This record gives sequence, C-alpha cells and structure tokens, in this order.
Amino acid sequence: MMIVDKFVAAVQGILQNSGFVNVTWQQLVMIGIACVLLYLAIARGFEPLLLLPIAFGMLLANLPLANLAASSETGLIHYLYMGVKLGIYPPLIFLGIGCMTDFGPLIANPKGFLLGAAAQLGIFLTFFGAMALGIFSPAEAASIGIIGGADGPTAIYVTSILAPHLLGPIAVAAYSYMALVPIIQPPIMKLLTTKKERQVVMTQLRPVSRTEKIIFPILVTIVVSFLVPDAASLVGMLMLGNLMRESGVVERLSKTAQNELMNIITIFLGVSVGATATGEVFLSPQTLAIICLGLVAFGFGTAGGVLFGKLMYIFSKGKVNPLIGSAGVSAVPMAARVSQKVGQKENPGNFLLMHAMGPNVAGVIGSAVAAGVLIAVLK
Amino acid sequence: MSPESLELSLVVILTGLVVVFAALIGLTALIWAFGKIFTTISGKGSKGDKNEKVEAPKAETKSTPTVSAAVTTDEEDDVVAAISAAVACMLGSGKGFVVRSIRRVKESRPVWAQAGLLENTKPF
Repeated sequence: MMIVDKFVAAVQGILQNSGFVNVTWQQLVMIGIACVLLYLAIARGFEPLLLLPIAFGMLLANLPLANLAASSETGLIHYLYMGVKLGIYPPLIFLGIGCMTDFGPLIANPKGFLLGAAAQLGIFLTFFGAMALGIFSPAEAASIGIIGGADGPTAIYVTSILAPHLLGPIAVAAYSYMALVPIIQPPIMKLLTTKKERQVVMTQLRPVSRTEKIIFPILVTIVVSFLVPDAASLVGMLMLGNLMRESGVVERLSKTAQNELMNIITIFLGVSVGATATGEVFLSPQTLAIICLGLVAFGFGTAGGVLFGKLMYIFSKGKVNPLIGSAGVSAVPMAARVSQKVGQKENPGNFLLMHAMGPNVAGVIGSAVAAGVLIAVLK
Repeated sequence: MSPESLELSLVVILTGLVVVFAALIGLTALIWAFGKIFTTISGKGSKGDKNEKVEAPKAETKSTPTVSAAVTTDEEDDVVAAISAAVACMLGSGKGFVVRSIRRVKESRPVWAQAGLLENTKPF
C-alpha cells in the first residue's frame, strides 16, 4: 500500500509541476501565435531567416514554468538577451550586411542619398501618429515609428534602448512587413505615379573605381558619426564591413562576418527577441496599435520616396524614374526588386534594379541616422 | 493630444527630417565631388558621359508594320520571311495578315545583352 501511495503522490507532484496544470490562457494564445508565425516562415517563406527563430523564441518564452522568457532573471535566453539589451547584436548584423553590400550604384549616382532620406518620412509621420493615439510615451512612439525604416536591426536597436518592453511586437511587425514589401509597395507606387513616369528608362550608371569604393565607407563613417554620434555604432559597423569587402585584403574576415558570424548572431537575435514576447506583454491593445502603425509607417515611407522621386523626375526633366524612390525604405534588396518589377511591368526592356539599389542602400544609412536622432532626442 | 506632446512631436519631426536630410545631402555633395575628381583623374572626363545617350528600347518588330522602308536585297527577303513566320506563329492559324514594311528598332543595348539581362533579373 505504501508503495502505491507514494507512487500516486509522485505522479500528482509531477502533474502539479507540469505545464498542463500551470499554463495560462495567455500562454496558450501565444503558443498558437508562435505556431502561425512558424507556418508563415516555413510554408510561406516570410523572412524565414529571422521569423523562424523569432517565432520559436516566442514559443519557448511562453512555455509554462520553463523560465525561458527574456525577462526572467536567469536561464539560457536571459543571457542571450543581453546581446540585445546591451545593443551588441544589431551592429554586428550591420557588420555582415556591410560585407554583403555593394555601394557602387550609390557612388555612381549619389542623388540616391536624397531618396534614401525622403523615404524616412514614414518614421517621423508614424511617430506623430503614435503620439496622437495617446497610449504611447514619446520613447515608445519613436520605437514604433522606426518600423518605417524597414530595417530590422535598426528597429531592434532603437527599441532596445528606448522601449525594451515593446521589442517583441515591434520586431514581429518590422519583419512581417518587410516580408510583405512586394505586396504593400506596388499599389502605392502606382497610385502616385503616371504611366509615363513609370516608363522612364534611366541612363546607364558610370563604372566606379576601387579607390572610390574604399574611400566611401571611411567618409560616410566620419561624416555621419560627427553629425549623429548615436548612429555611430550602426553606421560604423556597416561601413567597417563594407571596407573589409572593398579593400580586398581581408577576405577571410569579410567571409566570416557575412556568413558564420552573421548567422550565429541571427540565431541569438531572433530567439532572444522572440522570447521577449510573453503573453502579458504581447496580448494587449498596444500590440494591435503597433501592427497597424507599422503598416502606416511602411506606406508613408514608400510614399515619401516616390514623391521625392517625382520631384527629381521634374527637376531632371524626365531622366529619373520615380519608381526608384520607393526603394529608399531600406529592406535591402527586396524594395529595389519591387522597383525593378513594377518598372518592368510598364516597359519590359527597362532595368531599374541597379538604379534602385542606390536609394536602397542609402535608405540603410538614412534609417541609421534617423535612429540616431530619435535616440539623441528621446533617450 | 496635449500641447506638450504636440510640441515634442513637432520638434522631433522637424529635427529628424532636417538632420537626416542634412546628413544625406552632405554625403551626396561629398561623394559627387569625389566622383568628379576621380573621373577627371582617370582621364575620361565627363565628355564621354554626356555623349552616351541611351534610348528607350522599343517594343518588338510586331508593332511597327505601318512604317515604310524599302526592302530590297535577297538577304533582307529572308529576314522578312523569318519575321512573317514568327508573326504567323504568334497569331496562330486562320488569321490573315499583311506585312507592309519592317523597320529596325533602335536599340540601347544589343539583343543578346538584353536577353542576358532579362535572364539575370528574372528571379527578382
């Protein structure tokens, strides 16, 4: 009898300490959301490299009693999350991006910088929208606005400094909309341009020398960091990566930064950002507002770029295709591909890809500068 | 929205847009100036760029039958036959058509380069 009693007590103890008894409804809903995001990443290919680890991090954070949320005081994820909290991962991701980015089209046609600046309009208008809603503090509103930069690492960097409690919803919104760029942008681009403007064929870009490509990252780092020191860690690492690529003397380092290092950081960043999305934080009206405002941010960013492109079309007397303006919202290289695709629909012999890559990479620098401004003003 | 929030929002928007544009306009000017210096040093100058006028590639020969041009030599007859066959193939059987004239389209880039570009950018 004693053995049976002890056996029953043991089973009861295990049951009492199991997830089945301790799970809350919020955790169940969050596990459901994580599974939906996993489906989107795996079956639909929505930015799988980041959405998959983010979604799984979300799943881990909501396992009852597992102590795997980023907010917990100990445990694996807590330590991985330090890289986000201390602002380490996003600049390291930028290092890898710098190694993979060719700034040649931007050097050949530096006017692309202006489009990269205009497309940051979405960040600031969304900030205003979030403030107008009245449910967000200025720092939270700035973190939501930065979704309009269409740049995941920048959004995470700003949010980790200004409003770390909103990391989960903002990261999910940023990466989901980045995956949806080919759906969000074309209607806005078509609405704001005429058929004639979309058919403009731009002159071929001039070849860029190696020396120019080497000087570019050094110059950008100095200029941007002098003007906005808060953007220095993002822009500095982006340009270090680019210098490693263009110098051609540290191929091993460049390869490591853009492959192994970036992949390792992507795993850590994704899982730990996902693990910030616990039920109590994520399931709130604020998340819904963030998702809606994120879409507004992308829309205004695209519109800002295209409208500035139209201005350039007028001033250049029809030599600039306004479609390349939409690529100013970072999201490299997806946004440039969208410009190429929409342009080619109007004129199958038109190749806007390289022209759009200029504003596209300028958008990365532009959103880093915008991030620096927001941090400087609102920290 | 309280007056303080409104004021803060406007300050952030103004500061943000001005600083972002200032930074990127500064970079535009710097990179442009560097570009000019480099093209001058490399000896090409800007003359070559100005003369290089690339025209829009126009639609296929299908759309140009109304423009008149004389077709004389045997070799051109072969070309006309080939184009007619291609048009007939595209239109399908049972649809009669008359080729009145064929004009060479001005190309901004050679056909093979165009085909290569198309193939390379297709995945995008």
